[in-house]
Amino acid sequence: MGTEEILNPVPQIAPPAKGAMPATAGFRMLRAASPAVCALALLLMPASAFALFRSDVHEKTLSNGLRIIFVRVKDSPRMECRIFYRHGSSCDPHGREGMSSLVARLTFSGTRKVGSRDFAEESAILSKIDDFEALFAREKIPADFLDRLKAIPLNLRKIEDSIKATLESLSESARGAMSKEEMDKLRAFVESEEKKRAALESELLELKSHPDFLRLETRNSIGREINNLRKLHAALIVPGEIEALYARAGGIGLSCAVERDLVRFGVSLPANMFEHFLWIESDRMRNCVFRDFMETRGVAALASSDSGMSSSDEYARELDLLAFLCHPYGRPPEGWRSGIEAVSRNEALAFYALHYSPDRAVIVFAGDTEPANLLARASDYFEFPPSAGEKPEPSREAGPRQTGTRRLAAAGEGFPRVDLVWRAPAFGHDHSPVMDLAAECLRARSGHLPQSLLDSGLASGFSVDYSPGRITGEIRITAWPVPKASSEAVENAARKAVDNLLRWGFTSEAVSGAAGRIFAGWGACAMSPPDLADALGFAEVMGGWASFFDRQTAVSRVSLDDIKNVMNLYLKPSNLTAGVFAGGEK
Amino acid sequence: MNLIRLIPGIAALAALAAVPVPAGAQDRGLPQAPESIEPSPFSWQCPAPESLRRVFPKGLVAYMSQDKTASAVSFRIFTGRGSLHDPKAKPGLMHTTCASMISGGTSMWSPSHLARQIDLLGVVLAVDVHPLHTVISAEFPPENTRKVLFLIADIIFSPTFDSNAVEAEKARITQGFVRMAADAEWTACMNHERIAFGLGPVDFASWASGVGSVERKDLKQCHTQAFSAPAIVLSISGDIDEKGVMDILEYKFDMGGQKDKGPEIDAQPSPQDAGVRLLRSKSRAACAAVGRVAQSFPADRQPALDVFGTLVSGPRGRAAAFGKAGSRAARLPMRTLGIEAARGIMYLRVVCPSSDIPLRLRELIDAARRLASEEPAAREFETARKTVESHVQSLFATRSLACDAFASLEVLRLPAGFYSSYLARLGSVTFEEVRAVASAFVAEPGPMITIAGDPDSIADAEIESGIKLSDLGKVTSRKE
Repeated sequence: MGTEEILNPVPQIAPPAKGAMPATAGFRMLRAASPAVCALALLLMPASAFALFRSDVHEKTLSNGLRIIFVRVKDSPRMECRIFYRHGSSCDPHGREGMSSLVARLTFSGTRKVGSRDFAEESAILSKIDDFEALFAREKIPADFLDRLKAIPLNLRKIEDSIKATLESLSESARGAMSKEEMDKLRAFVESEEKKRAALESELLELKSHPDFLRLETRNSIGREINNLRKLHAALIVPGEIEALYARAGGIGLSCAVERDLVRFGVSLPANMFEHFLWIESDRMRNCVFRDFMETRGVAALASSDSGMSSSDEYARELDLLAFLCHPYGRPPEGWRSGIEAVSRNEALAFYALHYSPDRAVIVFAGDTEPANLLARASDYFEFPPSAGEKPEPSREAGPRQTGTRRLAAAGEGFPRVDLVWRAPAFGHDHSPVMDLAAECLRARSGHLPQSLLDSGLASGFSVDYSPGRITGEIRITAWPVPKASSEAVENAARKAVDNLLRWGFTSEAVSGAAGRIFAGWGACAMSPPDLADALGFAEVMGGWASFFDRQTAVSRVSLDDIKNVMNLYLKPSNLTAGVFAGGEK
Repeated sequence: MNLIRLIPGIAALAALAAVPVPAGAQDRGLPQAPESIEPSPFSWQCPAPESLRRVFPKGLVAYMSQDKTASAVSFRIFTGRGSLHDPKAKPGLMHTTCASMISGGTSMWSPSHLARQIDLLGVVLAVDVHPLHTVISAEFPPENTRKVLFLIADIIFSPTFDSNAVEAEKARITQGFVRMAADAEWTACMNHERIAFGLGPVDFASWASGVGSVERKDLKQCHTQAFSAPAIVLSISGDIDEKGVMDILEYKFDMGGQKDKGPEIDAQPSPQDAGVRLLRSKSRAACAAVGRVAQSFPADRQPALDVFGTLVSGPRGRAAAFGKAGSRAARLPMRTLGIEAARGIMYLRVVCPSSDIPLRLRELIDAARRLASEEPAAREFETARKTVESHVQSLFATRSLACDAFASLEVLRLPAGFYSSYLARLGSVTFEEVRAVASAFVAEPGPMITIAGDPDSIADAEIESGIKLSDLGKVTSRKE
């Protein structure tokens, strides 16, 4: 499932002996435990391990509904701090797709206390900027007009540079030694460039007499007023103060991510500095100001737009849209450009006030400190009433009933791939633990799927991911065909392998091995405090971290027939969306 | 008046009214500002490697940590041979060797039986080939520890490199390059590291030709160099019975042998490598890596390097990139701005749309230049030091991570006490040392820059911004 990483502003320092280097340092040739796997594996812990694990977990629910979870990691010098909000892109209002992502970005512009030198004075200027921005927005200029106007000076400079470069490349002596033919060629080139320049200049004159140009001038004069106010405003603000406060407290890895079902903010602090997190996040929950609204909206709109996206990225977005037709999970977490551009500051503030509320939040800590002290201190900071108003849940509409396999065929520059996406059970569904096991069985290197794809020489790699969400889930097989193999052959091979498994099921040995791998993945997660904090917070948002126990019991009761039956229920053609991306350049 | 138009405004006002009055912090005795918080005393010292280090009779070194709450075992094999040690004409050799070890069978197991054994024992097995070292890692259920360690010993010491499996791996690794090259950051960083060490950039053609030319004897030679018993260091942690595990490791991994000086890089870096290399990438983001050739930054200056990198890519660099209200950069998100430091190579990188590359690059280099002359405020300097200290702490957040950190230190041939003394060295870093690093970073013939992005967008951005890449150094462009 998609995630939009909005912010990772803190530099990543990798001293030489770091165990895990960034992906740029080398590429993985075999599958490793991902956080998603960790989250799933947590569901499969044996009871004995759970007992040990549970004794290290402390929780508290405040009267306003805020949940606080603390897992003690003995002797750790760091405290992993997270705050999760129970809304994601699936909660974005219709026509305002991208609202969650935009609001998350805006929360970094500071609050009444953070980021301002004099909030009273700043507030008056912000209000004037709002008024002018509303006027500015009314003076709409067609995009193609602006594009033409913008392109002309750029093209004029290109012509100038091209003539200059050509002439400079010829030294005086070379020019003297040129043959007549070469001279004619050079003259023709210069004349042709001059003609282009004349055409552009005449187009510029024509555009300047257009009514939109007059409107543009009005707009520009409003823009100048806004810029003047912004200069005054700039003198009153402290940019990036949230980041700076965390950095001064020894914070690293400040991050924010928007997913379909949640928004997550996180940072790692020294073990004794967790109170800084409580101060900053309780302030951020209530007092955000949304400075630089228009600029931030521009950034969010740019991040969500197709421009600059590779064909492969566009294909992935379109495939999600098709697999989740008319469903909130079909939207990309970063939203649509049109949705973001339609959001006004007041709408964003209303959304923020409703959703950034203690009854919609979960705080998770992983580190070493006295639990009672931490929980009491968290209560001190967050014990305030939740915001009023009905909190909208994501729409549970499933879209039109699927009557057959949906297909997407796309081409473009990028690496070819084949995707098979089936809608699958949601996180809390009885079938979800069964699907965890089924997905892990499908991944097994010695299983039917890799034999059909890899050993047959059709694909250079494949992946299987089961991602359960709050409303529904998906199970996805992705394969990367080798150059000589057709996408069709790869799709057929994958589907044939799945069909065989639907018919014959898995052996008990394969299921036992799969459970072991999920379990091992969790073990790795438990040994990494950042992953542990993420996994616990994710589970809490999805249905309560204690639901791990119920699910663990459910998994222990899964039979081979259960896996076969559940796979037959979901992995059928009428539930499938198949996508083929035929890459261009190799 | 159109009431509908007013609704969002009314809704916002209503919602704001519903927001409780701020904190009343004083009423609850909470601090008015984060600076007023008085944290409890806390001092941290890097654990001593000796507490985790075990040396076996024939010389094998393993870092071990027992944690009964872990519910799994994490086992890693570190070797000091990485992708940069591949012969210049055979890039991809280490990748092929490691992949073939795992899929190509052993003297005891055929390729298909090996795959089945790995699955049935519940092992999550992975290989990470880094520039200067490689890690084979396995996570598995504690009850299978004995069987898994036996199996992995077989993979490490007795691979047969089955020819069919090797050919399949070569095809996969060749294709894998194309998949990874779609990521501009990977392309820029991988090539930047190669250029910094004098190996030159690698593209699909040279990669495919390098991997294609790998023969069984190359694999065997590479395997012997990387995975002979004296060349590896182990890290094992989690729910283990230490005594039992030590017995298995002694029996199966402590094979003895003469420890040699380790692999060398098949090239010499040259100052001629400075300049701008523009590599074509059509991914959404572009990446520019900015650094020097390998010798410029020896490991013993690590704390000063880290402080310099943090100052440039931290708030100071971000202020340069975002601080100019109305500038194009100010409206764009910064995806990553980081620093890598490993045995004599350090570089900064910026990831952004191709159309922003000239501006971001200029600002990044300007930020570095300013540090060569302008002393940062004491608070900024202190914050940078604290950030570096935090990164070191995070390497030791658990005993399991500590084992990995020490093991990789050992295969990178860095001093055993590197981290023990790191914080003391960090605390004594002066601005003069940072200034020396900054001066070296921007000194003539200028930094080495590797860009992976869309050349057309970058060319347009050069015209639009008036910042020419050629002003930063001689530009070498490659179409593929």
